[in-house]
Amino acid sequence: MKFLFLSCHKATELMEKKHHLKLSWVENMQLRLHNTMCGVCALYEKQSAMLEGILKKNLIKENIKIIENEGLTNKIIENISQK
Amino acid sequence: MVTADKQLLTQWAKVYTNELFSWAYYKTSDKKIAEDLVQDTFLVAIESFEKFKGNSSPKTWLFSILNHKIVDFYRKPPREISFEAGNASVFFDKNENWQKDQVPKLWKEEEIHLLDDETFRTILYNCLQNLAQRAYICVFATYLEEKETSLICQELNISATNYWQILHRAKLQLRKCIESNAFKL
Repeated sequence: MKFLFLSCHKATELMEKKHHLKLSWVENMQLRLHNTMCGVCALYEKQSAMLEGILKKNLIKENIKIIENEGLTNKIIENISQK
Repeated sequence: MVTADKQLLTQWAKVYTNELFSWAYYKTSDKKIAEDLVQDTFLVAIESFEKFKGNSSPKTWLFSILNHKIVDFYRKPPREISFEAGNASVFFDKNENWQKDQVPKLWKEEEIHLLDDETFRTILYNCLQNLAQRAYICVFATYLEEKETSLICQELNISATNYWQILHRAKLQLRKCIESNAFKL
């Protein structure tokens, strides 16, 4: 039975694996068992899933703040004129 | 290069440099590197201007050159790896239980609704900047470029296990950073 019990470290690691790859059924069971016994990790899993959504939603090109860089613009224009 | 072409390129430089730079900066989090990448982009644009047939918009064309430059940049060996995958000792004790000061706290419902605002986005970006370089690359490849896991592992020359351990560590760090900055607990 002992193989079914995970540490918090391993449990949270499996949660991450679950987001990106598939869990085996043993891993799935280990994780479910751990979550029923560990409120902290269950909470972490919720927040981690939320972060997952935020990262997917927010990390798109359109949301990048445009930084003015006049010095660079001028340098490039100068490069072009010298060609 | 003929004057008309130069004028056109100059025009593009005026219109697109800020956007290109912002993108490169976002991807590399280093001002100097980002500037170099954008300058290189225009060098390529000058040299291969003849090949630009206008099939795509100038913006798309310039961005595709820049993205190649960014990929090349990351293909070089990582400059510095500031953590080893799997080393999550900040978060867990030697028995692999949560460290007391790292235990996730309950986020208040009403505060979660504020997540769409600009402030939160700024916090998120700042927290991302704090990630170690390799973690940062992994996060971007995963969420921004939406690349396949196998491709990311191949490009970074890491195993699949290594990959999700890096993401795991990054997620722990991000979660903590957002919690300390976005939620009044």
